[in-house]
Amino acid sequence: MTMRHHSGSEKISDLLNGLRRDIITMAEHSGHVGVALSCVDILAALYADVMNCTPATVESPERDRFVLSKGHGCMALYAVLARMGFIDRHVLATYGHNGSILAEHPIAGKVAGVECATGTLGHGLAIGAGMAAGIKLQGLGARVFVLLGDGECNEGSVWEAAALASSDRLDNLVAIVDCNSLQACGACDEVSPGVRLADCWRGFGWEVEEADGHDYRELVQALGRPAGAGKPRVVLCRTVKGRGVDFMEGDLEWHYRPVMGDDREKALKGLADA
Amino acid sequence: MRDAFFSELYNLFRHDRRVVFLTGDLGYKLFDQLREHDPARVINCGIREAGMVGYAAGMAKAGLLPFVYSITPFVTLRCLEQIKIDLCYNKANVVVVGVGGGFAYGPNGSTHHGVDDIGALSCLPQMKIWTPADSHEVRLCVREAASLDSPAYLRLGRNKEPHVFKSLESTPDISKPVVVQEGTDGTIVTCGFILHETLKAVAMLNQVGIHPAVVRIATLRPFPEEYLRTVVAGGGPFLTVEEHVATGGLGQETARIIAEEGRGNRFRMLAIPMKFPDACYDRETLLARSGLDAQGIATVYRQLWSAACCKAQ
Repeated sequence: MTMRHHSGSEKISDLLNGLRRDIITMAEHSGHVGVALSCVDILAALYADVMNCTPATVESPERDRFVLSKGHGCMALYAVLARMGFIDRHVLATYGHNGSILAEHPIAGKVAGVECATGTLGHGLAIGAGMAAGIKLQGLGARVFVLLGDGECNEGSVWEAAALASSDRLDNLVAIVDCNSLQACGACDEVSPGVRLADCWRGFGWEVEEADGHDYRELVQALGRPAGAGKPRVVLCRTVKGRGVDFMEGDLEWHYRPVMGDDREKALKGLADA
Repeated sequence: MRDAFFSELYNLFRHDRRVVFLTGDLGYKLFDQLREHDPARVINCGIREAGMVGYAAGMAKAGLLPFVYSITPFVTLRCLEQIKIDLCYNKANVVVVGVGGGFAYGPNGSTHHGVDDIGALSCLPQMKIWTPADSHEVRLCVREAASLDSPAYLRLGRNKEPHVFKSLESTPDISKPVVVQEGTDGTIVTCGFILHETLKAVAMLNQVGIHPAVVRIATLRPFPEEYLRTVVAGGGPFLTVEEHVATGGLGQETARIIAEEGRGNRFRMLAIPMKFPDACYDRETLLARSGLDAQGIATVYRQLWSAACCKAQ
């Protein structure tokens, strides 16, 4: 399979592997590597094969928009934006450094492709829904994609936004939940036992779909599927925190730990051999 | 002030298709005229103030000019982080409209009082704060919103505030402080609709031969720093009057400037005491209990003026 927007010559598996190597390299001085690795396949599918947004159309009112509501996953976004030509790949090396435009949570107005600043959880869906509403009011055809974490769905403001989007029949809005099952201090179903996310979204009037968040073809189909008229759509993506680096997968430790020294070498070697 | 807001918003709404009105399920019947004109641009977001502010931010990012409306504490402190991140940090030009600033909702109790809104919002970079003194100035604020280049907060009273100014021409430029009444005996600086009470106090002072100048500030943020420095340079006594707690308000900013200038101005600050009222009271009573009625303002100013005169001798 080749990508729609990218060079067309690079295999998807090579792209995804390369993105993971970029993330490991960026993560030398900061945490959240596990988060970036769980959502990077989703972002790649969006930018390479789903969204109508390229470096040439990034200012166009007709472009599809993406909001990274789980702003702490931004290493994945920066890596994808660099591979897709929105930003210079050399800028990735400045991630988290003094004076860099690539902060550890995205800053507004600095990075092409970053529609708004995020980092405080529970804000992105309302902003994305407002964008979708504004787009419809102006008679435009663009779509808005918002990526949330399953832990982030603890926030009450997520459900305020979910209700607003449903009430306003925003069928140009797609929420994506990175369901890696782990939040900052434990498993999601230990923190919120009894909460069934699919039922919650359905109860708020959304069209619900589930997908393997690491199966590229399945992601492209699920994310790109047109919505039923008058309903916003959510895709619950089953993912693994730390996916792609064997000693990080499913280990909460890597929500926080920078990837340094031997860990860095081991992770990069594992990806090179994959 | 509330009716003037809706009337002027309707004028803007008809001519500017960017304008969208969002309410947190308040303002029953007040926005009917807007809805009749264009129902698609009137959205009852439900009792979801945080969601409403984020929603408005997204709309602004898509090129619209949203006004979000609710009772003061609900549309400010309830969703403060959304105002900070979604509006200020993201530079989304949204007008946050709080009805019932200060003690306007008196008998409804502390849940409905808006006495800490200015202080909370003053911590946020980019945020413009309008504190109009009467209905005419409310209209001027709404007109200025059409060319906004930052988020803004519009602090309304309810609907009982008397006119202070004769017409919109009295204070055509709300961005600058205005001398409402000339005087030779020091200065009283105030913001918002407590100006009316302040002018009553000044009438009492005039009767005993004290003639302070009265300055009103309608655009409180950005703070009119240079103007106040100029007035402070005269060395005369200063009283600030605000229907807000002292923290983050007009008085503290003025005190800072007086301290920095070092001209030795005598200074007093009248603000709402930092405590919840102990029972149900109407606005007039709450003002009186806070020393912010005309009598209270006049009394403090007489003390201040006497002290300033003693110092001069």
